[in-house]
Amino acid sequence: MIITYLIQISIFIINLILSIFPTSAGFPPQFDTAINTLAGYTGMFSPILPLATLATVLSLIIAFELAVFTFKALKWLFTHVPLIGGRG
Amino acid sequence: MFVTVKPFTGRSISALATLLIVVGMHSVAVHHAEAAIQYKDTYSVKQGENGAPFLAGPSPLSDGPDGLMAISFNKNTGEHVFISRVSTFETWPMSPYDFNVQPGVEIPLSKANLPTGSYRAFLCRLDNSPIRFNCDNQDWGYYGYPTLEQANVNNKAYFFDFDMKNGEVVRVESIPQYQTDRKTKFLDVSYNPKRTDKGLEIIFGTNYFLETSEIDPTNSQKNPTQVSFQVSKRPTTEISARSTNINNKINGTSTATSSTFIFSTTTKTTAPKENTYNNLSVVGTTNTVTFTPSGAGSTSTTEQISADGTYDLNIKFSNMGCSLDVKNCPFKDTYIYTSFVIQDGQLQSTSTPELYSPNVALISKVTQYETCDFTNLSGCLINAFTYLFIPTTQDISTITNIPQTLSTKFPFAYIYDFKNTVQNLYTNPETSLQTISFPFGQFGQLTLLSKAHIQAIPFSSTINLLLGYFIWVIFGFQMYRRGLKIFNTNPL
Repeated sequence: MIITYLIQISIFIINLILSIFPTSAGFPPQFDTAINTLAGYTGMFSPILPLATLATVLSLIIAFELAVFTFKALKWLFTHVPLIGGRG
Repeated sequence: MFVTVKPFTGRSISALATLLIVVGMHSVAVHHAEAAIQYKDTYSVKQGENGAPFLAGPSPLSDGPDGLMAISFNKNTGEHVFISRVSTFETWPMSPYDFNVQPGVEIPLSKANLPTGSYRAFLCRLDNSPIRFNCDNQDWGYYGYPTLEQANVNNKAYFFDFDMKNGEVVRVESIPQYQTDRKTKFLDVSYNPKRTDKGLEIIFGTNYFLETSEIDPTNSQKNPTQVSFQVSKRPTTEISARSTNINNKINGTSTATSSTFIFSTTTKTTAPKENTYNNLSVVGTTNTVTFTPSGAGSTSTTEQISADGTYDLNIKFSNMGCSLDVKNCPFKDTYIYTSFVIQDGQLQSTSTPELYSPNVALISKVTQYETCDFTNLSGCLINAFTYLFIPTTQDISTITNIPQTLSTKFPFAYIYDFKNTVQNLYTNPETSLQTISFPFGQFGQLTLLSKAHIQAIPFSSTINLLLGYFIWVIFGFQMYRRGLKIFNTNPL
């Protein structure tokens, strides 16, 4: 029961935070079509160009930069919270 | 003597245990109050005429860990309507033992001489025959049910677990979740044909329903993130598949999705031959219907054929990389099938969609509690700690649902969407064009570039390999510089 309550409280807090963000449907279908079109044409060169490797590396770079950006955004947000952020 | 029992409550469980262990009980009435239970009637169990057990022939109880016995339940009318079979956990199904069923005969579990252990039993409706019993209206006759799912068919089984200890039933718990009809299914399929400069474009759409309780994000076989549209042109049996992401639209709503295929009507060279082609390439970016021949010595040639003909369309749930059933696809036995005909560049006819969603059993594990009495105080202690520190499976499932919730929120939805879109983009051969060609008057199609030409370049695989190493080295160096820039105030 203790663990159950801890889980429920955590889920409540997480859902409370997530409720701030608007619901989104993600990219429109045209985005998928565009990506698939690009992959269709460039995929033809996959026998000589390591496109899968390139896509993996680009994904890692994007994920890394996204993590850095999120960290900076949260850090900025934290410094603007009254009392605990150093500006109270 | 009548005892009223309500399944799914602690009191009813205890009463059901009483029902099963009290010797000499003559008649018991059972009320099923929960909506999840299919049997809402009142049933009674009567003392059999001879009180003999159903076990005929050599007792399977002595043959191994599997326990087997049968209990008849009589409805108020006296008809023989239920039969119960018992098995040890993890050993279901049992071998189909033949045993005689006598109407109106009851055997208490305490007399069954079951070995100490945990058991699962189910009650099953008879088909109005005093000697025949089955859960699925199939003629299983006197035999057991090869699988648990077969016993679930048509909502005709009710499950409960119990423990045997020193010849007595010490615990009986109803299995809390029982469902026979999979709610996650496809609802319909739609066609939207139109003429474009590339040919005939058909946008396929479908409505589907996702039942949240049936989806498990940690289990790929229960986590549909895509809808896969699989097209095959007869007489070939090979398919061309396109998938559409749906994980932004989870949470049990009926949602439409679509995927576009373009069928060219400008080429007509050779008709496909049965079992000759291993890859029908029908993707949204091509202006031809292209077949890649299979077999030794024929892998470097593609062949374009007329788009006219009969096609099969199968729509299934999918995950990344499983659209061709090469991996464990989610709900792989749920699909919608239809066929259509293209004639003279027009969509001429479509068949009535055939929907299929199987009956399945969803059994949730119940928490194992120990016996708690004056002679077994350690069981009380164990039960107390179990109650305090073991969360329910429902609470655990709420944790696993967080990524789903996150995937529906801005801006995280874009990240999930982008990830799903680019994942396996270049490792999936479906997405790659085989040739780039354009019409060239009376000469037909003029091939500008083809994958086969690129493959024919000398040392292409070696170049590919070396470029891959080069990219990884550059990536490592770049990440090193980036890290220094972040953590060092004086970067290089």
